[in-house]
Amino acid sequence: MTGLIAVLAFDELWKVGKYVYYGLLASQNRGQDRYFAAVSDGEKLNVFEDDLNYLQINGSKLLNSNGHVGIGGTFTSNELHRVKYSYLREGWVEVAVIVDGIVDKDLTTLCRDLIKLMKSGNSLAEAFAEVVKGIHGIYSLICLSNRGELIAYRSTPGLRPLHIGSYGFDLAIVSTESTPISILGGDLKRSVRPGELVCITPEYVKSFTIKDNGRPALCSFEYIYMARPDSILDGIDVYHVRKSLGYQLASKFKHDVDIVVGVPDTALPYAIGFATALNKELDLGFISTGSKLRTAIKEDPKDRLIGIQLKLNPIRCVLSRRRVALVDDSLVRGVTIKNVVQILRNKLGVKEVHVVIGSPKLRFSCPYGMEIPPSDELLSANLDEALSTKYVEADSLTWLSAENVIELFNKYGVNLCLGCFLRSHLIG
Amino acid sequence: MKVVVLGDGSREHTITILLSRSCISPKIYVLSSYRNPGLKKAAEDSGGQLFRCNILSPSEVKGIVDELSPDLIIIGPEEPQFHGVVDTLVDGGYAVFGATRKLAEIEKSKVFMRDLMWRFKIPGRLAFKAFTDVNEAMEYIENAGDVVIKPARQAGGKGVKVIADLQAYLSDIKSEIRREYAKKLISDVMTHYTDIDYKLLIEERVDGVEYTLMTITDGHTVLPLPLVQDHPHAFDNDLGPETGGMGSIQGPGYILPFINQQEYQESIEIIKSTLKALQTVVNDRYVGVLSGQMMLTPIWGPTVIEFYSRFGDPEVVNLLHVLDTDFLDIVEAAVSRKLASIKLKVRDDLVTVAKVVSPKGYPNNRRVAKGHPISVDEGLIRSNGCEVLYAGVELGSDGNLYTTGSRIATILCSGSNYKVVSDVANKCAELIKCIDGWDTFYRSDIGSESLVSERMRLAEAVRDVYTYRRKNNLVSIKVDWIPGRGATIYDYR
Repeated sequence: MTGLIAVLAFDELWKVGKYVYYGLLASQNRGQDRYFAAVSDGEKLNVFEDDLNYLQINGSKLLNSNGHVGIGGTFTSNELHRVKYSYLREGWVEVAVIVDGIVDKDLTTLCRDLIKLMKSGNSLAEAFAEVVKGIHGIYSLICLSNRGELIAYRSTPGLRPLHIGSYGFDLAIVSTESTPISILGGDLKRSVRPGELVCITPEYVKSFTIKDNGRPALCSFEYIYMARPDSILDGIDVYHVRKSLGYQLASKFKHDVDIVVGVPDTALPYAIGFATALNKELDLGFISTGSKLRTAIKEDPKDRLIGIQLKLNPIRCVLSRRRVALVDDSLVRGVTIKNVVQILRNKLGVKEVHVVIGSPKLRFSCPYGMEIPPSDELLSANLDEALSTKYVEADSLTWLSAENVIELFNKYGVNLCLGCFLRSHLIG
Repeated sequence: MKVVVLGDGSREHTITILLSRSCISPKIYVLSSYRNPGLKKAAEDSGGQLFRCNILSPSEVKGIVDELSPDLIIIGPEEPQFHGVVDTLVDGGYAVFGATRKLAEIEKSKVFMRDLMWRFKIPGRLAFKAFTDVNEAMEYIENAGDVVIKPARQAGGKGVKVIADLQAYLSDIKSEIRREYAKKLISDVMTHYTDIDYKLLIEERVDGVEYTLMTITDGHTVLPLPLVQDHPHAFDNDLGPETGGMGSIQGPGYILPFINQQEYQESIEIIKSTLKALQTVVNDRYVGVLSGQMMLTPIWGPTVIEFYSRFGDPEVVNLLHVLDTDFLDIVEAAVSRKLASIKLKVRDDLVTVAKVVSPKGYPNNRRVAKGHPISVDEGLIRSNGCEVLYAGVELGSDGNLYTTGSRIATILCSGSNYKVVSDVANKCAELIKCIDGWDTFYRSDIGSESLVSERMRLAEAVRDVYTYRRKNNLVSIKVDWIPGRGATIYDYR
């Protein structure tokens, strides 16, 4: 996945490098391996890219870069990150572009097409409005020219989020999720509408509707796993969604337990909702070691396992000889949960382990850019409930149904893509 | 009857239209620094005339006024007040609607204003410190955290820097900006003005919903007008730099959808107490307009951000469609100290939306925004039930209209609900264009359902906090402390 961030100062007194830097740090939940950033001073673009682990060690060039407008993106290494961003200079025009999602056009070609149109007198926004006609995909995109023109586009039907915020009279901030906006001290203003192109310069902010076909749809997996729990996506609090799903989960749970624990960090809001509804004690089951790692988006199985074990050191006095409900947000391959269950049983002597999953059975990969493994690697696509329960070595395994999720989102009046659970992918 | 109106913009254009509606049909003479086509037409239609002059020069203004010997003079903007134009005219024996120099200090000097509020314990005051020395100001800024930097003198509404600082990791860049900004303010803005001792004002920063309360006074009676909300950000969704105001909403009735009757009453009380304190200190009688730029904050509820010694622009434009009392009667009553005899009639079945159209480049790069020829389809705008009030537009010697680099004009629209009114205003704003292809812009979101309901949500959250804190006696003191320099205590009680 990709976390997009863009910052523009209306007053050229500002240098935004530091804002882009902290924006990238706040977008690591969407990509923790590489970063790309470009900063413009109105005349030229300075470009920065590296392993994201080195950002805090040698990000000083970005931090001190001269320029009142900048963009940045964080990427996972298991996507071909080259396809997610591009920078091109031809003659006196430079363009940098970053994409979250999938597009059918090579980004260097996209930059070339933009530059060609800009050289014949078009603004970046005018050039993009033309070029976008030839792009198919499900994506959000930010793009910056050396002249300091910033554009942000969110494709229909809106599966990849994009938000606009501001800091007083001074800054405009564009970000995939709302959290980086508040981390930068700003206020969330609104989400970019599906099919909307927003262009921002110190002299104007303009919005164009490029495409307006059909009802917007939001990605359920953003709410369930991808987004930070402190984000608000399209006006809906992610934390509230997760807690509510946890609450609903309790009605499907048929067992008695002594204690509820959540797998850190994503599952904690689910565990809170679940324990509240069951009226059971919620406790801290595990402590992480090292930096926060998002295990499910690691490509290498061994890396994943190392990640799991480092972030899940159990607290003995909480778990030992108890009947435990173990809450997780989703069940992908089942490796994490199996590993945790084994630790609980073998090292801590837990009496019963009931695994509770805050989402429906995950059975299909995502054609729209959400990094979900292919079907043959998804536990629920290959084993039935009984076998899955045995595989993860739990005493019971409970999922939410897709209806539970739909019911919740109906309350918000939003249309949801549940393709990874139901295969009924919304769009072609 | 002859009336002189002093000023250039859409505020003065509004005043001339209000006057021309009077059953007395006065002859209107306008004293203006450029040929605003709206003011020119309003003056000529009434049988009067527009005179170009330096409106800041008391002697030049008095020279023309002596020729005209008008029955009444209305002062639009604040700068002529600061320059003593009112004092000279009053000394000359004229009936003037506008604050004298000393009374206008309430707008001109932020230090005087805050000081007055603390001295007389007027509610809605904010902690502040004033500085003449840049280095001292810098030292204070470094320790102050979340503050607003203002030029100590009113400088056309420009120059206020609100720099919220709650993120330590971004503090150094903000300190740098603030330092740079304070220096720039002193060199750019404050050196133009030698009429004030203090240079900078550092004030505690508050968050909340802003609104404007304009009142008319004869020094005794205070006549509160309906509340109006201005939109200072240049672009939609409250993005972009600060402007003189990109539009305003009003109604229905005296309050706004997000400010309740009690908050309105409390705001009026703040203005009344301030007026009383001001007249005591200055020992003069205030005749004219006293407006409060207010904010509903968690600390106080109604809180004063600034005072204006004049009508807000564009705020006064909104009144054009809802004021049912003869405006000339009101002004005459004020100057003859009989304002208590006026019963204000305001239409409460309407809401009004004013939208300002500006040239690209405004507000930060006015040089490029200046000198573009424009066309205004007044006929079509009127047929939509809207009105155009001209601002930064000059009638050139070739008969064409040209931008001055500032806001071009204000469109006023009214109707039964905000959404419809806002949509019609948007349509009309499109009818003001630069003929040479230069871009213009306006805020399509002013008066929209989403923005109004956003304000309602924010006000509700603020109201919840301040009413709770009042009820539980949690309004107390604020302590400022610079390590090594001792503490300053601000008592809000």
